[in-house]
Amino acid sequence: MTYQENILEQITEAGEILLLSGAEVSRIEDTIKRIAHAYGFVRADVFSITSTLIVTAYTKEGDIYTISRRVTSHQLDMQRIDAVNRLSRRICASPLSLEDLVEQIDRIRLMPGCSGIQTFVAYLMVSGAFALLYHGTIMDCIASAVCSIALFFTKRGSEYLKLQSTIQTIVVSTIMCFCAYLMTGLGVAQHTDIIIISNIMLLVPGLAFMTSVRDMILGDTITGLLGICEAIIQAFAIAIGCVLILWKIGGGI
Amino acid sequence: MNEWIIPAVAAAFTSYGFSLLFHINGYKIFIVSLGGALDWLIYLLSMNMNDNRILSFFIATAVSALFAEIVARLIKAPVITLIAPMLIPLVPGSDLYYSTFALVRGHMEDFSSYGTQLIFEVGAMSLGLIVIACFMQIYTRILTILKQKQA
Repeated sequence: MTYQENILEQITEAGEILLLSGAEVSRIEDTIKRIAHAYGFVRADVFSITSTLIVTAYTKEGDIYTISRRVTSHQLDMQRIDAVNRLSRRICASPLSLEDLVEQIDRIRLMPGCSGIQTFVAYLMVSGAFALLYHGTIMDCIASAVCSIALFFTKRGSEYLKLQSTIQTIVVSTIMCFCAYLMTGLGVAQHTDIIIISNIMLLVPGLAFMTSVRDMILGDTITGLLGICEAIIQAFAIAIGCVLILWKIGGGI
Repeated sequence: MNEWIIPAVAAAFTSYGFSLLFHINGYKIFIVSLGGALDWLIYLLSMNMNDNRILSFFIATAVSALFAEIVARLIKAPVITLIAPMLIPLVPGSDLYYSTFALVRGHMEDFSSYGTQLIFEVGAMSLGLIVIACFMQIYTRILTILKQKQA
């Protein structure tokens, strides 16, 4: 590989980290273009949707290089987005040598994500707080927190089994709804609806939806449409999971 | 007082929890939690004033998005890292649940009213985001042109 190919590979790597961590497409394209210009490429064309990243760069000598990446799993991580952002500002001020660039990108890629305990605490906190936000009693708050424990372990289990994300959501929301009915059935809490809603909040694709809307407005229509489509499918998956339980236990239809 | 303080604290905690999930670090967590509380307080205030859910969703989203844009520029962080966890308390999960519930129970009228409400609320939130994104783009473009003229 030539020097320029190596550089471009690292730039694409940075773009992939952004895409994996849930950044908007306009940011990904902007970052890649800026870094490429800083390293002396005369032109860089970037195309990115939620699952693919294609970068083509033109050198001064007239060589054209293209790298494409297929991204299958997303792990939201704002710290990584921030780190790549800071790295790109630094590079634009003064380009790093290839070794330094590789080292920096590797450091960002290997950053530890959200730890298990952190996630667990966050689940308890979010579901408990939502129960209070929706005018639940203290017992509702505790019951939602208990349900979120079930939700956490089911999610961990289905991640371990490497289930598809839609199927994961269906399984998780089914278990969660069942747990909520169990809580009211045992007389711990009174409001099944508040408990279920508080836990649904942990599954709702809020971030995906917001990034997609911003993408569409900032000119990336296809990306935005695909993202909104994924968010809607996710919302349907939550509904399907709930329906399975509400139908039988809730005594509907 | 309780009807203001408890929801505001709860909203701050939901945003705090989501900042942990989204892996936001350091002092930004506190900005985001503050934003979450602000977000919900504006919603409550607007509901108090004109009792229109859709309008309140729009106002709350727009104000928090503007807050996020300004703070993001001050601390030089990507906007999306602030805006997403801040808006979490507003996400209309309750209407998603109630419309599903009505569907399963066979209450078609409830289903259509909750479903429509859900769509309108999501629309209002998007509109809030869009308006602020437009505004910020116009502002930054004018700023760059002024800078070019000066140089």
